[in-house]
Amino acid sequence: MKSDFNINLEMTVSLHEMIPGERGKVAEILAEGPVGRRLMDLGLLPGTPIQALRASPLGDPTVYELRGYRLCLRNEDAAQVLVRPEIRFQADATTDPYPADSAATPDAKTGLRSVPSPGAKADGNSV
Amino acid sequence: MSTAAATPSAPVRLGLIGSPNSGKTTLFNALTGLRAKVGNYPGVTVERREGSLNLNGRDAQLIDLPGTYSLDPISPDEAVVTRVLAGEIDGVASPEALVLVADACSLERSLLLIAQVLGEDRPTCLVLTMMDELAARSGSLDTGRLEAALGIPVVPVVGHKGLGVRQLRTLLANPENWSRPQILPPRDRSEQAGWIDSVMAACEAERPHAHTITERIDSIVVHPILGSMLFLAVMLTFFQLIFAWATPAMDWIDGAVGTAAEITRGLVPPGLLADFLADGLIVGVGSVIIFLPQIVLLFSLLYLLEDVGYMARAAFVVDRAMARIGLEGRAFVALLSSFACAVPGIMATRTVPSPRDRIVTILVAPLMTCSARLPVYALLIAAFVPQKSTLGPFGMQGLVLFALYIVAPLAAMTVAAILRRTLLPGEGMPFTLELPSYRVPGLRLWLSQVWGSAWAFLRRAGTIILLASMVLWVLLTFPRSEAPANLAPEQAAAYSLERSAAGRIGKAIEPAIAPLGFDWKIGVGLLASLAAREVFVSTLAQVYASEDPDASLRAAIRADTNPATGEKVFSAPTVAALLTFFVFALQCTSTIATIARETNSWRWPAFAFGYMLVLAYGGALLARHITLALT
Ligand SMILES: Nc1nc2c(ncn2[C@@H]2O[C@H](COP(=O)(O)OP(=O)(O)O)[C@@H](O)[C@H]2O)c(=O)[nH]1
Repeated sequence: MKSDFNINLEMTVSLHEMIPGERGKVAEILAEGPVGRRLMDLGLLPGTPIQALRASPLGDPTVYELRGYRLCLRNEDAAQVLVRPEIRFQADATTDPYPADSAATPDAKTGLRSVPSPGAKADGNSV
Repeated sequence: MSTAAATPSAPVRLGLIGSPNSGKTTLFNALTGLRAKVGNYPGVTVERREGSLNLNGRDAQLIDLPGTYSLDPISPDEAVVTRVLAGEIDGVASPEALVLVADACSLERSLLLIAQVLGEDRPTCLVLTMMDELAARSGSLDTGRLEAALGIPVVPVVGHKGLGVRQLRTLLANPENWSRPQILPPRDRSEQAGWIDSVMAACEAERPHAHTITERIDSIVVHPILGSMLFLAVMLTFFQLIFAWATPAMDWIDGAVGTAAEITRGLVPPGLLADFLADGLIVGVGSVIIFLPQIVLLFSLLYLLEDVGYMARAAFVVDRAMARIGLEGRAFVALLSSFACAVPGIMATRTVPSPRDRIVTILVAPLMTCSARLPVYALLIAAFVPQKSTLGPFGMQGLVLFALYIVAPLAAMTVAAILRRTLLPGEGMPFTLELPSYRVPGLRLWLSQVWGSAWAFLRRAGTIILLASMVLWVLLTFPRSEAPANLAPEQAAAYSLERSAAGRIGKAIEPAIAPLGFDWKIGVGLLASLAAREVFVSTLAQVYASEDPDASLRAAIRADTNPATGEKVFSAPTVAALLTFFVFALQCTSTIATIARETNSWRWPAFAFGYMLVLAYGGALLARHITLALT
């Protein structure tokens, strides 16, 4: 049984389309050959949790956090990576739920960013 | 593992392997105590570092392999690691055992490299650095269980404090006794994610919290507005410091060289030997050490910013702009530094990991308006641009100088973009840059980095620079001809210079430079300026037999007329051509030597000299004809 919400969970987006602060899991590396292998060597293996932290002041590249380190990728390279976002705001994608400033200020205790839940069932969001 | 086991006597060869920022250099220094031998691997631009150490009575050789994320090379430079491991590089025996270095805070990421290295199937141990940071960020892992999960010895250390290094030395003495994995990790990438998860679970890893200080600092440092302002402020300060702070030291060295030459002349009877010692040897040595203030200052600041963690952010902020010309963020600092001097600028390209990016950066760096061009600009502008003339509110002299400063970086950007599209296209590999956590820099690491660069310059480029300046001295001195006795000393010097090899070369190349309006005297100046651009001024002073390079030289070149045509030698078109020539030409043996050393070949310096000569000649010709048309 698929509700609207579950359909959203199946959706993949390119890594560079992630909103600052948004989390997801790597779904697929589109590039083949050495480029794809290099991206995987950097830790972008399918299933890897990843979070977009913030874009450079000039808009590109963007820094991501994965596997315990911060990696900058240019948008053209990030476009080679498909991710399954944890939550995708469909109705109102233009509202940035994580303004750039708050994105990098996680809860000091847990190191986690509090994710505004789009409804009651925030717990069921992990894929 | 018993350390009492019979210790074999042959030095054991250990390879240190790890990703960038893993703390590998710090560990290397802690183990070898800075007694590293530095060289180059043949055919590539990668630095080769080895150190010998004594492990509880057994000699060992530690090879610091270049930092890498993977054993799957994508460029000849990266292939060095795999080629060393395979024993394919002449003169570098393959290491018998491997010492993996990984940052404990990002162990999860490092496990990919660990998996590949374990696949090499030779004795391997794992050193986990940054254990202090892991604890500070409330992370933990059970190294005993990690040993069991990987099947190899694991040693936790705090590299910059030397904690755990003693235990490590004990372990390193006997690689024969290291445990080996029962089952190798999966080679298939699709299975590696699962393997990593299982290892992380097995060692009960508590992932460290985000580094709060780093997050806080980053919210300012890469903030769209504050971050850009900080970037500009840091770069301006950086530039100002290497430009302004180095000057007193350089003036001092200049003065000391002059004094040393004078003292020598006082001690040695006048003649060839005195000339050689004073003008050849001492001036030659001076032309090498004159670079040290800038090199030491530049690398002190650069490594300080690097060790703190700011350099990666600067590259992150400026990358987009650099991408426009086909380069990347890390090339920015090298190009900026080249405004002070191309020699340290070219050395600073070491922070650019992609070999092609690095070569493009090296090739355009000498176009930046370095400080040695300034005396030449100053002489010509002061002599030929009327002080009173203005354009709107601006003085003409200042405007010309400004134009000369602006043209060069524009040309550099254009050349970089062209090289990118033609000779040196990108490798098509993703741009990757890691933003490390901010750290209090380690003093020892910092000092060793700065000392390493200064020493590398002296040993590698310094010898060539010294040699080149001696050759130039010989050209300017021989063959010796006795000036008629009735000439004043200045005239005598001019007389013998005209008859020297350099004078003859100047005359020989006159037909080639005549289209630019240059005569043989300018030719001699250009030849001599190969030692360093500012030497152009002192050589002209010698040619024109003027007592000082300021007022009287200015008057002399203004008055000089061509005996054949009766026209002024330094006419407006000639001066325009000469200024343009100096903007573009690679009139600097020190830069050529540094390019040769950094690229490990003579091909690239030859190419740089050639293309810049073409630009200089073409530009000068154009400038001459435009000025002719306008006046
Ligand atoms: N807190 C902490 N910092 C370290 C440790 N080892 C190295 N560092 C710092 O980490 C940074 C990178 O170290 P470096 O040796 O240059 O890493 P490399 O790029 O792998 O050679 C430097 O600022 C070091 O001072 C460690 O064990 N603990």
